[in-house]
Amino acid sequence: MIGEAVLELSGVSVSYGSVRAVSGIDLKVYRGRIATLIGSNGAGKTTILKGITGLKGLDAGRVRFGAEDLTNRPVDQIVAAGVSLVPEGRRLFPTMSVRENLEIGAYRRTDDAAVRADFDRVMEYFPALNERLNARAMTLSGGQQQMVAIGRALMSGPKLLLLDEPTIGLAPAIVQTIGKIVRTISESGVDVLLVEQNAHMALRLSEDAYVLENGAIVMRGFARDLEKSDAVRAAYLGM
Amino acid sequence: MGLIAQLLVNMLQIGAVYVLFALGLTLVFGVMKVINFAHGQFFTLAALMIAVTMPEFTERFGFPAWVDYFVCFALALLTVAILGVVLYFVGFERYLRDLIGSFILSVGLLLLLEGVYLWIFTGAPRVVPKLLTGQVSILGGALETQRLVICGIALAATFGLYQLVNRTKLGRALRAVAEDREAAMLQGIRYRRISFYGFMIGSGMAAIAGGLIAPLTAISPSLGNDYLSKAFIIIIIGGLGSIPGAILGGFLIAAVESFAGYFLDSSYATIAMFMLVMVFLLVRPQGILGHAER
Repeated sequence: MIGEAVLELSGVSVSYGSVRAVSGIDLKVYRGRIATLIGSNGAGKTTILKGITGLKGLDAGRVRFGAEDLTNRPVDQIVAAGVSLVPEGRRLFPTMSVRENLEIGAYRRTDDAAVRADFDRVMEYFPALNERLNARAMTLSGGQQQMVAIGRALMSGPKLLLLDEPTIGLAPAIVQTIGKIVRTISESGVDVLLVEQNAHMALRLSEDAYVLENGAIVMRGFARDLEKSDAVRAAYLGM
Repeated sequence: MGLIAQLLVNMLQIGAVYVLFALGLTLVFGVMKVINFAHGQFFTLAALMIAVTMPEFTERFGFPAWVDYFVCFALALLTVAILGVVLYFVGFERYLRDLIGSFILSVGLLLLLEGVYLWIFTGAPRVVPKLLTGQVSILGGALETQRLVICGIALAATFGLYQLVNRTKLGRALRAVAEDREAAMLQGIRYRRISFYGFMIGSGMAAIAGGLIAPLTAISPSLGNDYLSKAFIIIIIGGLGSIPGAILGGFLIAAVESFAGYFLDSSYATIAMFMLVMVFLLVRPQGILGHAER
């Protein structure tokens, strides 16, 4: 009905020490459909992304990406497979220039012409970065830093982009810009999994949605349906 | 004028050796988050190897001294590289980002290696033959040619490392891992491989420093200890993990040592260094170019 799943998590569980952070996560991202994972602080959203990207080992469950099984593979192989994460808090390399931050996103690539094309595309998405290319990343505003973080992730030429709270702490106007770009990225053929606390923006932007509470998925469905559901409205939309 | 020139060259020459030594230490810390207290042992081993092999070479082949020096220098670097590989895979690889574990490991290695060197090379101070004789005069001051050459090599090595770190892909990966390991991994950088490279480059810098100091000093198995404590001073002043900071700190300490040592007394120079550290720890604990922990 809605095509094939590009990313499929089945029964994923992750712990920190003896504390189980998330358990039994089933989640799918479909081709061309933005999926969002919403949940409050500490629900386990970032942990799931760490599990997908290999930064955190899985206790149980599998991660399938296209035809590949990414379960517990090393991070660099998962990046090479085409999964790119924009981490929570942006995590730029603070003393490197904006240009270096972007270029390092293409660290594993050898297709120089395509890398240059991707660089131009990032400049097209975020024209504001053009004049800041030689500035150290730490001197940028929060919104510009988020643009660099997204740009850096795009520089790896990903097939799937994972965004961890890309709008947190940003001014409403910038949130709009980021939202538009995420939509553009999705339309350009890169699949998107958006993790957000900002449920308003996330639900409006995406097709499919999952609600995470205390490390388990408690609701799933079309984003437009979840937006109307009373439970989501009460818990996440403040209505 | 001649005196100032002499003191300046002296400062550049010791400074460049300090910088090499401290850069290695700060690079290893940056990439592995390990303070390698055994760093000086690579330095010592290189100097000892040159001191032991160079007379043998000269006796056997009769080449000019500077040829022997460079051959033995290469041999010394190779020996240190082998030791570095062994220590990394047997020890340090298990204690990446573990300050306490790596502290215990590296202090143990410091003592163990010093004992081994004493056993193999004995404690008698050794002297490396002059690699070049003759003097040149600069700005009216007479300088040994070999000091000038060594100073040049040390500056070139420092410049080379600086270029490596700032201009190459490997250098960018080293900086990325030092600044944010997880974010670096998310760019596809293989953390473990880069940390091994960082360790080998850092240890190699110590070995180059040791090889360069060899013709200028008496060499004993405890040679590295003095340099290790000075490297800590340099790193505190320059800023932990900062490469430009280590360069600045190295030359600053060398200037204090060189000028205060001449105009006052060498013991005052040492006191001045520690005073400088105290002032920095009180006023600017992150060092000249370090960043406060966020």
